[in-house]
Amino acid sequence: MDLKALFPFGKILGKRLVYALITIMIASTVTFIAIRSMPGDVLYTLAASLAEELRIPFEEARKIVYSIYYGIEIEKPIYVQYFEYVLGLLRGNLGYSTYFKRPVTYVVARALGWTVFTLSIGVSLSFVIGVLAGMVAGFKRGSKSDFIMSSTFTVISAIPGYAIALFLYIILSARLGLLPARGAYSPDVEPGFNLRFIADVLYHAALPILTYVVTTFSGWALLIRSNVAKILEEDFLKYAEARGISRRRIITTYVGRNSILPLIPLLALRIGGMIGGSTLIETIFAYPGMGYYLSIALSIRDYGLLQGIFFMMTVATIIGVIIVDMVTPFIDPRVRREVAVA
Amino acid sequence: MSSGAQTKSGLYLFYLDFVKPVLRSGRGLFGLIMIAIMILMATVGPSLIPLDTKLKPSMRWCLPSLEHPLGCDYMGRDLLSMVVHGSREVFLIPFIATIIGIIGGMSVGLFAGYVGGVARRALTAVTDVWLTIPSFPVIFILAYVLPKSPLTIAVLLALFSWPGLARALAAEVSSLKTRDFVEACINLGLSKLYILFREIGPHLLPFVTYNFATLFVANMSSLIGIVLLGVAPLNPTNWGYLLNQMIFTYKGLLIPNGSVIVFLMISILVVIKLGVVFFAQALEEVFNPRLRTYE
Amino acid sequence: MSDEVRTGKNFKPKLELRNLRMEYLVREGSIKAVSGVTLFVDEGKITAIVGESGSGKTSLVETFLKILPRNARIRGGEALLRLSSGEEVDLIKADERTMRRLRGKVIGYIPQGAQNSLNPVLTVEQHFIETLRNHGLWKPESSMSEIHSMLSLVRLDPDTVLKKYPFELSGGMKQRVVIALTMILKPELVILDEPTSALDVFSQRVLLNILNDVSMKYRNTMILITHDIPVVAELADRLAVLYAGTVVEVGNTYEIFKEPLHPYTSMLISAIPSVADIYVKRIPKPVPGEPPSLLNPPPGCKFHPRCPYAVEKCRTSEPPLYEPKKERFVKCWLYSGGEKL
Repeated sequence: MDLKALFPFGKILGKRLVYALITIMIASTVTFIAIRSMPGDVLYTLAASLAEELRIPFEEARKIVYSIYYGIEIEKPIYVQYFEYVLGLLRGNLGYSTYFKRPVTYVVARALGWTVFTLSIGVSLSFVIGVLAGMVAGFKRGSKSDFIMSSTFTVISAIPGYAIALFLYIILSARLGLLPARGAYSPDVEPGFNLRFIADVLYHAALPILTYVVTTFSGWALLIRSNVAKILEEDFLKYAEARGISRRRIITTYVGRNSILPLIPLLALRIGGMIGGSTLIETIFAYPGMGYYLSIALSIRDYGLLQGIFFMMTVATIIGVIIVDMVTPFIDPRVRREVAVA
Repeated sequence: MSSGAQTKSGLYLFYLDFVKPVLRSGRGLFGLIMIAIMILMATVGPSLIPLDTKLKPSMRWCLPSLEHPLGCDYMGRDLLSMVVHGSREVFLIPFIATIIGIIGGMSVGLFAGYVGGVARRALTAVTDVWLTIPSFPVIFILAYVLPKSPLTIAVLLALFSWPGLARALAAEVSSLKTRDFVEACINLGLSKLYILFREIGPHLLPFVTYNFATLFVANMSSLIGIVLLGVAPLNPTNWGYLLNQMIFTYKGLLIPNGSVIVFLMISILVVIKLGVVFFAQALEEVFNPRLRTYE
Repeated sequence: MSDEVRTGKNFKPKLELRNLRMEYLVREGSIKAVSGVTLFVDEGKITAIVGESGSGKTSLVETFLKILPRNARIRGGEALLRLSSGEEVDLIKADERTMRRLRGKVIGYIPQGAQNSLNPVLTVEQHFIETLRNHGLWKPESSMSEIHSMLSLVRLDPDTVLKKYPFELSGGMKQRVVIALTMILKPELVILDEPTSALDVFSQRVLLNILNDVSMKYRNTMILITHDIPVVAELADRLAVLYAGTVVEVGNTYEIFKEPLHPYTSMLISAIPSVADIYVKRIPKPVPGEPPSLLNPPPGCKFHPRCPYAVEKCRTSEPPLYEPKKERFVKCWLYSGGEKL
């Protein structure tokens, strides 16, 4: 087997890397603008206290604050500032948090795991549930149960994620007291690889995960439903029936695979939205993921934390998209051949 | 056409073809009522219902009653008056954002679709990148740091409203371009702009209308979302700000009555959003008879 | 194309359709796509079903195979299939399990066009393997060589085609894959739906040769559905003319061409360009008028609005199938003197 067959992603990966670079440029432009338009008083407080501590002139302290906290060399021309800033971010210099008094990487290291954990479970569960529900509705298309199911999906998919989070909070946590809505695990549990901790973590993650599932599964279900309805009219389905192919194989290999495949690229496009949307959901549930720290950074005006968290969110999105891109050729023969030819 | 049909005015035919089917579908009627309520609320609402600014500690989190149809907020103010006064900003900013987004999306999409080739590939690449950016934090960070004005927020929302539409329009135009009637126009020597706006344009109208409605409600949720997260509002009755105060400042979710009021508040938002979505779907069915259900 | 195989009344046809009826439910009412079809398909012969588009040719096949769309309803009749094992099954009454056993294995169906008849996510090889496995015929040691020889028979190179996905094949290749895929199960009855439509003249020629080879080799009973009369003349032993969901004439192909009985059949045949037509560049006149609406079919004989011989009786009551000559059946009041079937 030649190298190309073993690793057929060369071109796709190259394209993605270029896209990733552009995405990172845009994201760092956003944080650069944010820092450069930071209100004076935030900077003043930082610089003034530094100047006093080190007994240096205020102007010098201001430069140091910019450089240490945000990775911007304020005395250089603006475009040099920008490029050095972006290079710094890429090298992992995410800035310094005034609130935690530590590099932002420290906060990110603690927060990233929780976001990835809840989101990946949420996305996979919602995808599986959405596909199953959509298949059922699609097979019963035109019937009363299909009408009820698709109306429900439409209604649910029209509700914003934060509204669903609040509904679930009020019902499951505030009213019924079934699920916790604060933190990632109970303070009295010893973190580590033990059953009690794992159970506790899942218990605390239940509300965010449930929110992701409820918010997104109906969208998948509606898409799958219309795909199934389309495929059921296809010639290849009729011919499979005429060949006596079993019902089970028709559902899995014929309807299933062909209706799920077009959704994979959409999955890649939605990762960004879901990571961004986690901001509101994690804040509502006080779940210590990246979104939670992003809104904290905003409320306490910690610009270093703000830039670092947002940058990591972008990177996480890019990695998610690349993973989907890498997996696609294994699932879709058309993409596999396209990639192999390139 | 028979002479009987010709005597019917164009307006009546419009009613028969477009208005009646919307009214007859339950969802369409519901959507139409919701949109009427929205318009009334944002236009004449504030002058009909005075803003309640009196703080009445005894009425904090009071449940809905005849006097206060939506109950009271964390300071004992009438929630209905707050909601009505906040509606202007909550509807107007997303509306402006959607108009900007639609105009942007249409120009880019029509151009790329009509020119085709490199332009379309470039558009695909740009939208690919654009759709990967976590848009919500971007809107929220920039809305936080940039000078506040309704237009700034509208532009920020619009910034992320165009790619989906542009992409879909480009695909649609490039498929329409190969249709017989367009080729006939090209052979007749009609100008490209004429063909684009007079011949292709009308075919895209239903699609654009549908996108307008869905983008509008999406922008509305985003706006309320960023204000809910703590981006200072322009108007203290912005629904997001009311929710922010109820949830984070006054811990309404932990108070039994408070959670009822929060529940009501989000339900209003959800019902309005559903109304617009249903209206758009009913319209889409009218424009596109293939979507109608048989049996 | 002689008829010596048939030996009188005790001869049992492979497939016997009796008064088969099916309609599609639509918002406006019901489309009577198959309205009382009676047809015998003889063992070991090629029976062609011809008719204009919309006459219900494909619907008829989908009815007795029971692979109809969801809005279709079978309204009665029977379809008696005689298996080589001697078993007789009424397909209309058979349950889904029996049908799944018969479809593919006993009745092979080669669908129209075949452009879109293969699963986009499976290779050609996977199609063959799944088909054989489904009928419990997959033998690891011998099946592959069988697949190879079947592909060679339809003039495809097995080594290049087997690993390909449908989107990597041309339209003609896909159609030949479908033929091989149907024939690999060695069905007793093969149904070919419009095999030559959507093909250029050259591919048509190749395909006809392939079909000839296949029918010579396996000697299956075949039903050939087409609107292409020259193809019928070349391949079919017997001919059934379908009009508005009902069979109007059945008989030996040669005899029908020589002397069509039903007015519609004679109009169809005279619409084929003859050598003289081609020589003087004359376009033969098509069958005048429009096929009837199957939503509101005309009363009486469905052909009467287009029929030059129509009389009052044709407008009010539907004629039965008469047998005015031996082995010739026609559904027309003109032959009301003949023997009724």
